Amino acid sequence: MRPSRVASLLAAIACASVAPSGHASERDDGDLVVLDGGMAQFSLIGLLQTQLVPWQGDDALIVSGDPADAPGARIRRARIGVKGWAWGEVDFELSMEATSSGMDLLDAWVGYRVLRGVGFVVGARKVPYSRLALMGAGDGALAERPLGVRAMAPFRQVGLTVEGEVGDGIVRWALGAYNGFSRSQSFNEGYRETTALEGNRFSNLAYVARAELAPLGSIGTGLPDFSRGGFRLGVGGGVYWDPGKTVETVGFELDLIMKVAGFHFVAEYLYDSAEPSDSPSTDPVLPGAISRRALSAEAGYLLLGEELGVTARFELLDDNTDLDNNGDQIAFTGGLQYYFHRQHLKAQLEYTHRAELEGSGLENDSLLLQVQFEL
Amino acid sequence: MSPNLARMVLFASALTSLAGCSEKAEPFSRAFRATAPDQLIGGDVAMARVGDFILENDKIRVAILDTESSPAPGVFGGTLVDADLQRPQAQYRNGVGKDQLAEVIPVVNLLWPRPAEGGVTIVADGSDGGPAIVRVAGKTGVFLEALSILKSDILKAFFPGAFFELSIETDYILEPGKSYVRIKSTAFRTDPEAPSPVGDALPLPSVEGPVPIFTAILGDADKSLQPGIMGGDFLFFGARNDIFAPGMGFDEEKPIFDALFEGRDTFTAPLAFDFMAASGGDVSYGYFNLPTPGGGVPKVLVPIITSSSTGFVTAAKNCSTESGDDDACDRFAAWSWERYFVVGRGDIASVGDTVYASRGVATGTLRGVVRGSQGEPLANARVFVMRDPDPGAPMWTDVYALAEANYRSIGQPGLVTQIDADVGDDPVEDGDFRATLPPGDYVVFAQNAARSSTGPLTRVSLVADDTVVLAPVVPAPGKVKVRVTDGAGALIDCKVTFTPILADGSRADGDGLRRPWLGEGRLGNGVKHFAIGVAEEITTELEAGRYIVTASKGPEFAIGEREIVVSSGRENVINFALAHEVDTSGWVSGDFHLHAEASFDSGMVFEERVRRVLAEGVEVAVSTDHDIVADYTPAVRNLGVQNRLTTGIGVELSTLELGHFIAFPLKYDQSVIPDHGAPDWTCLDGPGITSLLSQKIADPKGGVRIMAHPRDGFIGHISQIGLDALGEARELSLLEANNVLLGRTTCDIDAMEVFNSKRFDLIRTPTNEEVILYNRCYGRIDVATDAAGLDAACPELSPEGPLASCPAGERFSECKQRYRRRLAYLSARQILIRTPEEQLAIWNHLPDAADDGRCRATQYPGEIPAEVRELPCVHHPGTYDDWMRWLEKGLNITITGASDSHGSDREPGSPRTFVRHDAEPGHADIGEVARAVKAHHALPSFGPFVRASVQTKEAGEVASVAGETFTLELDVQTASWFGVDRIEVYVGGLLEKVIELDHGPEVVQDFKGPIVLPVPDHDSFVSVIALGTREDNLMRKVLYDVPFGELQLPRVAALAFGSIPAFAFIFTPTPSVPDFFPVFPMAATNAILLDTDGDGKWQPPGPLPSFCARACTAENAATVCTLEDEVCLPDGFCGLPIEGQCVTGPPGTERSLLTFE
Repeated sequence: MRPSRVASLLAAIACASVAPSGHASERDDGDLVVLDGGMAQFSLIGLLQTQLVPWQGDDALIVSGDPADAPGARIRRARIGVKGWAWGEVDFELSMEATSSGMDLLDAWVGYRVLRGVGFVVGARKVPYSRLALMGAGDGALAERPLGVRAMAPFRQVGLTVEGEVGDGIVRWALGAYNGFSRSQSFNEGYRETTALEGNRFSNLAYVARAELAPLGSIGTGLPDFSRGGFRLGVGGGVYWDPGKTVETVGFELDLIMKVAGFHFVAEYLYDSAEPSDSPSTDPVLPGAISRRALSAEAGYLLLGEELGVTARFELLDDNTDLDNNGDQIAFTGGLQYYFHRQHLKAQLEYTHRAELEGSGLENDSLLLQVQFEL
Repeated sequence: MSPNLARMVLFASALTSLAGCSEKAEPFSRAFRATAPDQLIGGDVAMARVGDFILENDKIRVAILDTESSPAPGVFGGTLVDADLQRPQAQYRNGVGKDQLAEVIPVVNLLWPRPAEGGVTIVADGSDGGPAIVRVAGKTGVFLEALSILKSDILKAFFPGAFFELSIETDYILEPGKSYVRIKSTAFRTDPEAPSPVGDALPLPSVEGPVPIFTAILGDADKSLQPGIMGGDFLFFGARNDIFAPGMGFDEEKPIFDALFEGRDTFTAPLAFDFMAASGGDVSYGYFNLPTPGGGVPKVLVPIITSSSTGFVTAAKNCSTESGDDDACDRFAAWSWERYFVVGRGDIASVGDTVYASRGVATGTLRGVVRGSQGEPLANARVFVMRDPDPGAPMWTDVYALAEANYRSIGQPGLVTQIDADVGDDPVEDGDFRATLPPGDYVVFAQNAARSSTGPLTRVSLVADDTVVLAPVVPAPGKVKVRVTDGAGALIDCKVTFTPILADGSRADGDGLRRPWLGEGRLGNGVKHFAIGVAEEITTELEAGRYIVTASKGPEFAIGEREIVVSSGRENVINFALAHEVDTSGWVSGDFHLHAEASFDSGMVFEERVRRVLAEGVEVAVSTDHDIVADYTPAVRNLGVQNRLTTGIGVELSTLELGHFIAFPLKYDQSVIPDHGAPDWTCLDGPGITSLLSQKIADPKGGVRIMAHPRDGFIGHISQIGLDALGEARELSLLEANNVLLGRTTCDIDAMEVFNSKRFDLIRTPTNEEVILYNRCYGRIDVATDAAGLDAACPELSPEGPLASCPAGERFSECKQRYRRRLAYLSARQILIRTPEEQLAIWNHLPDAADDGRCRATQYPGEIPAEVRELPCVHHPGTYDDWMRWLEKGLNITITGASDSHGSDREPGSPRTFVRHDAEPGHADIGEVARAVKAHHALPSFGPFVRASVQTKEAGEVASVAGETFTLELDVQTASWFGVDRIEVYVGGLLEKVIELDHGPEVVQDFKGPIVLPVPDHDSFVSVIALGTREDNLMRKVLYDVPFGELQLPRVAALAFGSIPAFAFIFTPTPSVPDFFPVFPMAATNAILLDTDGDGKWQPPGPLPSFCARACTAENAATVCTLEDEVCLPDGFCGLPIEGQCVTGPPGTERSLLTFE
């Protein structure tokens, strides 16, 4: 690297923005409802997703990651909350989500961004691990995130995150410590997120780190390339370490995202491995480490300005790399998206084909129509 | 250092200091008398009261009663009734604990301590840093009058020198830092021949193998051993705990019934275990003894064991009749023995740790983490350690094969211990587990907390002082979502069962794939799992496999069945719509005999009790816990089912020897702890009890008093008063001949359970032939040594071929059990089916001295004489027959049916009582229901619904009939999953009409139409039995078969006493009738009373049955008190002149016959 380039990079780091949370967005994320009090500003945030499933295979079930247990309608997400900032150095978010048992806390955090390029965030928030998990639930091109991301990313947990960026967003980084993660018993049910009020249920903390590089400039918060700009590229990676007293889990994530002229491509690979903290001293028949992996790749294109998009996704899933069973799957999803009112309103129609590579096959293809309104 | 940094350092120092404060508490021990409720142990089933004694140290807390009557299962005071861990957390302070124990009662030679006032004292309060000690001292007493035989002259004649005049001193010793109470008892002779002073006590050796109980107490038959001393405890672990013994596992029923089926009584050959334990929540209990110095491995002998009560023997000694041991043995007049009561952390392993450490057994450590299929820690999982029957063999395919190999090897499933991951209140639920075990070869596997998934087997070889780390994996269970709606699509209360389909395509039966020995409990009919829905979508978990799913809502609704395949980690969704098929308008269905957590032998929490009641379609439920008044109202409110269920407050007054009585509605008194105002029956006789119950009825308009299971041995009032089948003579059993409480009797009772639980053996009086054939076939099965012998066991009842066939490779003992089950069904069916000729012979039979032997199989080894066959077997009078006898004598008691449900295997509502009461569900008036029952507007039923009327007059009403015939209008309905195929119509006790119906369960309207019957020659009655007998009409699609029958103390006692040559001629076991069977659809109507003389009244010729109170005077005694041995008692009523006092209550409650009020 020539000295002048090094100097430029150092200069960029030195000039890093104070408020890294304000990523520029290519879609219209202008808040519809804002209260501005001078020293503080509140924005109303909300997300309503209604899914219609006109057809699906007999074996399709919600707990398996499918959109419904039976053809019909479902409120997929109903969220409401506020976010905002105060005094120029504090930002926050507080939101709730409807569940079958009432309302659950979703995001509840406050950030303090007193140093240039560094912020401290405390509360319940998505851990900085998976790019597609960090992306908003309504910001994808397809109705749902990839199955593997839903299963393997820890999503919201309670803890402390230190994050920042350099070079006006060219490099972003985050480190965090959180309550120990709690996995569900089945792959597709993912991690438990509703433990914010319970405190740490385990004896140790989990640690997460993530870094992103966007050398050609910010690629925005959502997946579709509404800006139809020039070629942009982002690469990232995350790692977590959950050193439980009884089981130690490590995971990593690698991702790549590209956008150009209304086209987007994103790929993400997740891998994790859980093994007993004390190595078993007997019987090699029992597995030591249990490892899982998931790969997804998605490409999409906006056909008509900011209104009509087409997207396809491929996934490869393996819920236990030591076993050849019907947890080894592939999934194809293809769909159309139509955007209204500068993306605050969205309709999506998509078809998912799932195939079990080993073991007994399942009738779990599905056709999904989703209508989304987002504040 | 900057100020900020200094503050941070100070803060860090403070945190460090605080961390240092959390070190463990110093060991201590103390004893004190509770002066306030917040000093007690606490817990849903805790029994101790203010004034009782508390022993606690840094590990555990226990409570010992003062001398007042025990509110727990026992009768005397001074027993250990509550036990829990020491729980320093804030939520457990101030008397809030997790006690799950019922009672520990020391026993010496079958006698219980009976301390008098002042007999419980604190010997050491622990303030000196030593152990705290509470001492209970006093005389011993019999807890059953029946045991007075031990002190009888006849016993003394046969067994001179037997020790039954004893006092006992028991020290409950709690040392600092220990998780057990050391119980040291010393028994002293108090008989006139006892030396004075008594001198020092001889330490009794610990038993090391099966010792015949009566040999230990009475000496042996060949007189080489003198009568001796046997010490142990009665231990009621409490129904919330599952009893465990190493090897046997958690299935205490099977070993004892296996023994009984093989003709071994467990008093003569007690089960012997290394230790006993029980677990079921966040606290567990254990019981063990230490080896005698220089002795072998000590054992705990178990002569009697049921799910709620166990008798343990830990030490025994007989002196030799030779003189060689006189100085070492014979000279002693006091004996002492010790045993240990452990309070564990919730699992068996924590008890085992204490046992092994106390005994000094070398151990290794097994520890690790249980994981789910995704590698995640599996909170609250269970780890099971089983004996490896053949360490050199290839690994067994699954846990069933492993258990089978152990059965073949040692006759037991071989469960060594059970370890809870995250045991007890572990705040960090990360699947960790730990246990110590003796060195050996084991097979280990894990199961998730819900018992819905079991992991693969792993071999472990453990050596002393070494540690093996394991990380077993449990697959994700399958999930099933079930929606059950009515015809209109509304979610309804329901029960959903899951029955596995086996590899050969057959539907599982019996225990099927359920594993009682792992603590999964026993259901029956092959059912693996069930779930209850209270008008809600059910989500439940299951092990992977093929299942038949059955949805039901009691006998008025159709059922739904579906076959599903459940896969690990996946979910199935099923919908059922059940039609309400049976028209019961104008009636409500009630269960007036239900137990829940207030009963020491139930433990089911009230909300679960209510849920299960609803799932069986019961509309009126009455709480009838043993001697405790309970109220379901809060549970009903919590569930929000007020619009579907009416509840009543009642009680089952559970005397030890006078039978059980139910009454409702009563008042629930929140302030009276723990019985909430239940009547105290101590030393009351029949008239006293019924009078007391009348006083306790809370509704000013009246309620109902029901005699529960009247013919059920010790717990049946009619059995205990010795009333014969004719309702005339009274002959007390030898064991009860001196029970002063049986002198007077009364028939002042409103109702009686003609159907109780699934006790079909108590309903009808069998014929001699029926009993002989059953016992003859049963005996052939017992002695069969091969399949051919079994196949030829019973041509009499199964002329079409062998009773059963067994799968290839099945153990012969299990195969025999199939034959027994089939025999029991055929025999029970035969007994329930009454022919007019049989009824005529039974009804007209006059008892004679030869009756006793006429239904003994040994009496007629060949052909049964024709004149004997149809006569009644007098050993088994049936309640329905009793009732008809009494009716003909003018005593009209309502017949009812009730489930007596305690746990999962006896469903509420099976049987039930339909009551004529026109109210919407949830809006019935409990007082009106009670009074309708009293007025005979009731139909006891296992399922069929019957409407019967004569000239529009229904049960309890008088119909005037004249001429030659009258017409009965009959309507019989059953839901489409069971059916009635036989209707018997009784007029005046004779079977006047039999209607056989040739259809299966699909027919709902089984019969509707008129039946013409003869008019009797005096005021009489008509009653109808509707019965399903065909196999396809049975109720086993929904209701569990009875797998073993009842463990009846009289049966065990008769076997035990019968094994003593001197007693064999007295305690000849009565010939048995089948007491394990499928559930027959059966209903019996109450009587429509027939007025035949046109006066509009029902006035049978009488006289009333002999157990009704008859007023007398000294002058007319000879003509009024006409029963054998009967006299006119000083209180002006006829009765038996039994002298003495009632002594089965604490000192101070003694009552003699002359003081009865």
